[in-house]
Amino acid sequence: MKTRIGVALASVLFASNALAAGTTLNVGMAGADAGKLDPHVATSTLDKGLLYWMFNGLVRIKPGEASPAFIEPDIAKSWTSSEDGLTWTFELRDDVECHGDYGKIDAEDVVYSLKRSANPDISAFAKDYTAFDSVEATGPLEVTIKLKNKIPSLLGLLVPYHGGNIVCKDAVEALGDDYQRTPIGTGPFMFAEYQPQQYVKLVANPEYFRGEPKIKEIFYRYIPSDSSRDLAFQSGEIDMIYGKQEQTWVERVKQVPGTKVVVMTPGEMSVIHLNMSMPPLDDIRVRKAIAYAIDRDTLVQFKGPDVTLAAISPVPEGHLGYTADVPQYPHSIEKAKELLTEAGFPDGVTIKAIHTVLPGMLSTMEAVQAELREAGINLEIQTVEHATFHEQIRKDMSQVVHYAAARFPVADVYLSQFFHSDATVGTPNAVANFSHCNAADKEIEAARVEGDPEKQLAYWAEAQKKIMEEVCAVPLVQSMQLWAWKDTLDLGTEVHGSLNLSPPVTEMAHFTE
Amino acid sequence: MTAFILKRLGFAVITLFAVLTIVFFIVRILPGDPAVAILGDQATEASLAALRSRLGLDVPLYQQYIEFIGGVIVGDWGISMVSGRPVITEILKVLPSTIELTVASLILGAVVGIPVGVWSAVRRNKLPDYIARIGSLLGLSFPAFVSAVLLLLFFSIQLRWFPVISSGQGSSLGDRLRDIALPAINLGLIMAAYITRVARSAMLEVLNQDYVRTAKAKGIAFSVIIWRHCLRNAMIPVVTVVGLYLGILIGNSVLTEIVFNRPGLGKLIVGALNQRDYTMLQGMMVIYTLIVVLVNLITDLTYGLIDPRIKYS
Repeated sequence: MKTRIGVALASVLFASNALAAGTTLNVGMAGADAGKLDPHVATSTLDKGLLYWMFNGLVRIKPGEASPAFIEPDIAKSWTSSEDGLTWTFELRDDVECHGDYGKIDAEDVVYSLKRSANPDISAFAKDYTAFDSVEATGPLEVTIKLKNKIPSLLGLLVPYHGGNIVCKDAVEALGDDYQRTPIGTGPFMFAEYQPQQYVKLVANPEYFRGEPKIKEIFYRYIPSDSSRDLAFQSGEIDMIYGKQEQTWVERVKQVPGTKVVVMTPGEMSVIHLNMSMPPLDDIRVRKAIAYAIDRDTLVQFKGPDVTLAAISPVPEGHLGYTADVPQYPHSIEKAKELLTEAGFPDGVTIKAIHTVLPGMLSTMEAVQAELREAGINLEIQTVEHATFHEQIRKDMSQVVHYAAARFPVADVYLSQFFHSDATVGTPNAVANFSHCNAADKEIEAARVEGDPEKQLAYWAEAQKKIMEEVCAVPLVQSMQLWAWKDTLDLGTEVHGSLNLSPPVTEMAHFTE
Repeated sequence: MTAFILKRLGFAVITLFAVLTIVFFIVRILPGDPAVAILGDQATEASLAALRSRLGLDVPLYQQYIEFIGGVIVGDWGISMVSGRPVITEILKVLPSTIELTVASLILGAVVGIPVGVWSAVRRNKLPDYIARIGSLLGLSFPAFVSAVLLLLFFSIQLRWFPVISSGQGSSLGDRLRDIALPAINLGLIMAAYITRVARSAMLEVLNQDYVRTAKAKGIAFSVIIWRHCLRNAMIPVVTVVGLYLGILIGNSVLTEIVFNRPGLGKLIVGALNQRDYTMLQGMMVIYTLIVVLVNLITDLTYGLIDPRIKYS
């Protein structure tokens, strides 16, 4: 009898609830819970990664790539632009269905969606669309966008990323506030269920215009603990995981049998911004001394050669407009000491940085601190909790700001947000110009409205040169995006990058076993 | 008894009001801007200001406070600044998971801790006592997140008895037991370590009492003396510790929920703190305060059940 009870109990306890394999994809994402699932509001990597699988844009970047050089049709099947580049007309497909019973996408939906993206009362990305003069439905399946002035990449604003995600008008209006919890898109996967702090479940969209996805269900699981996420992958409960930007993570996960580790662009660019409005950093010799004292090769070795790239320019390598032809400051302690002596600091200098406690960023800054010490530069790091860090650096409280960010891969974005004087912290339009740099305003502005791509590239290159000449900032490294998945999962395309930072799970993705 | 309970509930209301006031001002004094947390680091100052206005963060602090307290009184705890969902709904969705884990850990802790404590006291300075004391010391010394990872490595990766992550789909008894087993063991063993030490010392004190010596002289069986006479008298300090420990248990549950990926208040509060979700933090504090006040009340009432000499006035 006892044996029977034991067997029964064991069968209840240990009965396998293994998640169905073959058509169910379990994804382990770093984060405690979903935020807002409205694509025009969602700003976190956590939310954007999920929405990527549910929405389309007028155009898209080819799955597996992150560069605007790979832009191709999505909801729009073709487009034309006027000679002056200010009027763009898009012809829409006639077979794009909204999830649920919200009908087909037409020009009205696209107009509504883009106007919503440009509305600062709703959208987190409204400033990206300030150059839009009008968006009109010029036919049932034709949309015309008129611009006030030329912008670096109109098509870049229309890919399914941030405000470029096309929402269905009827769904947004019918759901009201509930839309941010029940997103309705047109993509290969549809929202099905949300379990707080556990997962969001997506199901295949049978009406998807590129064909019904082979994967039938996706469980996007929120697993904040890095070790638990890795263990869940190791035990086979998770098919795909978000990685840590560490060499040790790559080496450890590669040991799990049947695993594919993928390094993706865009990289997160780590830059030391030097506040030129505060002494002693108002002296270019001190800034140059810092640049000479930092050894990027050592930083790359420290962070891991598989997961980082040395950064030379303030714009990340591989982004549209990047140039390596900028003044460089090869590692030289002697040169750094000479410059400090010239600047009147023969016994060294002390500078202060308010810094986040996030371990990945802090370890980089501590390595920089050790390198600077060799040249007699004492970098005092005051650590604060991450939200506090963001608040204090925006109040212009730190001499040195170490910032790591991934952005849309066009030079204008980095240059405008970090190095144009309009974006200087402490001003009404402040974004992230922590250095008070104004060395390249003219070139940045000229590039924005330049119609000739060659000239535009030249402006951007000139801007990068000037920023580096002034040493507004010292680029350190690019940390790439890391994911791992089972090698039985075939995404149907080679994956080199993803703008939304999650791998492209499209109608082509399937398990080979 | 009724008067006592009403008096305690009256104090609870005052405590709740004081906690809410302190929490309201502390979360706003903390550096960190909810608007930046929501709109991200690419938002302009103008957009951030517009959002602060929508969230009501641009009105004077006293006005925000009056609105908040007014809302709490009528049961409106506000909308989460980050998720846009009602705070009360968010909390109630995960509260059962935390209660489930806490109760399971308490039961496990008591079931293991009390007998081991008694056994240790009865065998004082003998091998079982040494084993129990060292075991409880280990239990107290181990950080909850370390023991959690060790449990996962052994039971989930090596033996594959339990899942690493909660399935979140478990509606059957088997699934629920599988989900809760390791987290409850993790917290329960720490609880057991506390209880063992308190039960042992309380038992040692009782064993030296005159009435125990009298009972032995009368020839009453030793087991009867221990379980019927001594244990009941030794229980008051144990109950006190269990009541006090609940606060620590909630603290440890934060880490346990994160490592075992269980939903619960712990995960909710960590997310709210990171994102400066003021309304959510305030709602959480209402819940935590209510839990502590209620547990203290239940603890006080339990004394009367254990020892009839205790009268409430």
